[in-house]
Amino acid sequence: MSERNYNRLSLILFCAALVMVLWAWYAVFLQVPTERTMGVVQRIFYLHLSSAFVSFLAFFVVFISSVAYLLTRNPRWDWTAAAAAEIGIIFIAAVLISGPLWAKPTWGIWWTWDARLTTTLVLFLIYLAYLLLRYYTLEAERQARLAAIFGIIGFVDVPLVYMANRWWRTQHPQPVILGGQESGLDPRMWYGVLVTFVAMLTVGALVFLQRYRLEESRHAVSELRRAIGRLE
Amino acid sequence: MDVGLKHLFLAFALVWILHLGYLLSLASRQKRLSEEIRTLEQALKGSERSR
Repeated sequence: MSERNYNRLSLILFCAALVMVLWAWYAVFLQVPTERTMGVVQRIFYLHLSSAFVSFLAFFVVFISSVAYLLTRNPRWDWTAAAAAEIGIIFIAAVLISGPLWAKPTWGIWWTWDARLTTTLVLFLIYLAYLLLRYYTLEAERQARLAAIFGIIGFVDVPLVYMANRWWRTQHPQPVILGGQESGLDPRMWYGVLVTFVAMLTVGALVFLQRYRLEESRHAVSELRRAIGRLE
Repeated sequence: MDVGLKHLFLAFALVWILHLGYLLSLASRQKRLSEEIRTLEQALKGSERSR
């Protein structure tokens, strides 16, 4: 993609993200109902849940891109995986920040080593290791191949995080979405979930574009250096 | 201020600072790389002309 097209698409995504974030703030702070038992702090749920969804989506992109890279050896898949992994880390960090801030007033503790919380922390650490692996492996082809293998294996933790509070007894609340007959949300809360999710998704898309562009530029720099080296 | 409200504002502030900080760091890294690309392109043209 040319620099002009990148800038145009970035501007469109930036405007969309700004509108959606303002809409999400308005919905969460002024429109959704206050939950009966937890009170106003339950509104962290919208931020927490949508950040988790976007991080899962980003790690799924890492998984798909890693498989595609190993099959095709096209570096664009590797750049896609690198960009998605970093975005997944940022969003899972948002989950790990908002979770304890919600937990303290409702559970009386910041953190507990239950299955859901522990697998989420492990997920963060797996993709942190993935980025470190990329950083410390110098040779480009080897870096991409090792990262792809790690990206496929690392994804195993995503379904574990998702299923943790279904399979084991946890301090973390039982699922309210797709959690069976006992679960469910007030339709006004669904509205808050959808608006916040779209806002987070738009922010994720904006950040992904910038991060992917960075990988493309890095590739351009190494190609130019190689070309100069050949001429000297 | 109510503890719940304080935690709600803190969660929103920290998460959005994280996103904004990351976006700004990406923009600054991109700026550096774009400048490097321009410099290298000029160097390449110079090398090609001098051959």
